[in-house]
Amino acid sequence: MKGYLLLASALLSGCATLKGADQAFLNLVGPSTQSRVQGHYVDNADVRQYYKLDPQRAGQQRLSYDGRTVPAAEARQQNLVDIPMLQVYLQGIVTRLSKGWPGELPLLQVKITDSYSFGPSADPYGNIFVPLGMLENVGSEDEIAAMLGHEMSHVLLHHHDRAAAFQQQKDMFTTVASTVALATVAANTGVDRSSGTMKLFSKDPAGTQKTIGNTVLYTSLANSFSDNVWSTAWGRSQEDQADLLGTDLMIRAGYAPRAATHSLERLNDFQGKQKPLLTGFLTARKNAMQDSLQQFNLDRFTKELDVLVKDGLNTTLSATSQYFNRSHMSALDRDTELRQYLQREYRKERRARVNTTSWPKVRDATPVAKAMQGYKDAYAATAALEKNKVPEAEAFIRRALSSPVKDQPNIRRTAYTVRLAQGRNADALKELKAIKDWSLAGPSTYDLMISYYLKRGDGQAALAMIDKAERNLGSEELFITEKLLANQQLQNTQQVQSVLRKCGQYPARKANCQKLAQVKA
Amino acid sequence: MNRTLIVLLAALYSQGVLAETHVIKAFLADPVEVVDEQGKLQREIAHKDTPKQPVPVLQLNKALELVQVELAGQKVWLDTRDLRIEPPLHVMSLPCQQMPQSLVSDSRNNSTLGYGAGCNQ
Repeated sequence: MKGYLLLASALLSGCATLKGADQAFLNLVGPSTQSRVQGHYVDNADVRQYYKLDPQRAGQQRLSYDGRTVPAAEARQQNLVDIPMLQVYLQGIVTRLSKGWPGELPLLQVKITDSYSFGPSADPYGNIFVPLGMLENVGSEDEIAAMLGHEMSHVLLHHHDRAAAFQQQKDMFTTVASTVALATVAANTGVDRSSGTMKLFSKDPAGTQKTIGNTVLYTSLANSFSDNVWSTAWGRSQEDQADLLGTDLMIRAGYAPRAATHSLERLNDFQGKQKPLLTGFLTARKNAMQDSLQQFNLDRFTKELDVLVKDGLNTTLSATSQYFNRSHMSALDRDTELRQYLQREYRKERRARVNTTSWPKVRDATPVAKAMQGYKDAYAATAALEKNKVPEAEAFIRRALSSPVKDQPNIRRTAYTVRLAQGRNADALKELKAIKDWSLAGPSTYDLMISYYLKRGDGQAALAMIDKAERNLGSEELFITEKLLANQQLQNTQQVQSVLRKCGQYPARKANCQKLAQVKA
Repeated sequence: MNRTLIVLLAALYSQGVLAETHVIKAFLADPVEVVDEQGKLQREIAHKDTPKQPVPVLQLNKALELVQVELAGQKVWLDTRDLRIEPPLHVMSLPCQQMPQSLVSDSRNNSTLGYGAGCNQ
């Protein structure tokens, strides 16, 4: 009966790729990356492998970014903000941090976004997106450096390959689970040749059914684990690594590492202070799971899964996922781990004081302060609209429209929404048309203009706007259905066929394009 | 002259009130450094010898990130770098619940690695 487990165990222990799986689970239940690192993280062998840039890889990335092949799901979602003085300042911090990186540097470019979220983010093309919400809340340049250093580290450590690695691990786990099912069938299956044709029969129908039933359940559980928890396990490790490398870069650049604590405390405040769910569950299970996985003892692990099932975990996976998110990736846990790393590796440097004068000088400089106030007013206008306070929204947007950023996409888009709420549709459109620099616009802003032109039957104007969107967002996929529609409006048969062919390459868009083609046919 | 005095007294009083509401919830370092009021190292205390119960903060020097507390009957200054202070000293000026939904919904980039999740995520 245990044959299938042995087979699966053999598969597990013989497969190098699954070493990663084991580590992923250790990320969930084991010690943190910070506590496992010896010496400065930037000097570790794990990091050294990224010192040299792979020219082919870099070339591919640039190709994607410069071209129009960025998948729609990876395209920038927000409007960008243009405040030149602030942009130069933030880019200067990245340049200063970059000098601490001993390897070759990819292109790293700061872009300010109109979001009032707190956390910055990075994409695989080296763009570091800094939300206005972060700039409204940070207290020092050191704190900004902590957050930018963290994001740079994601790029330097190739963390965006995670999606591929995650899929690989998930596939392997599913394969193992399927192997268990197949092996069970094989072990309990006989061949009946009495009828002249080969026929398979089950020697132990009840037993096989039970095992398969469990296996299917485990497989399903494993898949859910992958989707909801496993990715978080990878995520935890990556956040830890980015914290470590980001801190090393900060210190090498002469910033005070204690500022990382400031931003993590603020992040914790931002994320709320909900108590982790299922605390008792993890405490009870984690040691057993860790032991089983470390020894690749699938039998014990299976039993542990069985306990999970009995505990009803399979019905509360999203809650579990939240738990893992909150406990293992909680900002305060990261902060505690980071402080211990600093005490161990940077006893002297950790005493450095934060410089609280340089950032306020930039923030309060007239061009920056006025621009940021303009965005805050637009934000307040949206908040007022949500509460149905249209006159209040009008007062705020009027102020935003007298700021130096009045013609930037976010401000005009907000004005558009206010005008619509006032029932002034023609004026609403004028607001959108007043956007000066469309390279700053996000997909939803483009969408408004493209939809307007299509509704008017102005295919030519729609195509011109789609072309801008493709160039500025680097993605052909985003508006390919609209592109088809515009060409249909222009009765440009050749272009329709060409767009249809291209559309077929995008699974998420293919069906819609085909429907559109049928309607016209 | 009187106005200056009032402002100074008010500032002093408000700092005292602020400090009184804070406690050291945990000692994160081992050893914990005892410093002077300028942050200069005086001596060290082993983590095992630190109080296990929350310790009220008597004074807070925000600029130098120091707190004064009473340990073993003595008033001492500690660096907040070694401590978990509650309520936290660094918070957001804009609470999550005030984030307009329309801004939150399109405020995340897809497929990017961020510093942390947003509100209620």
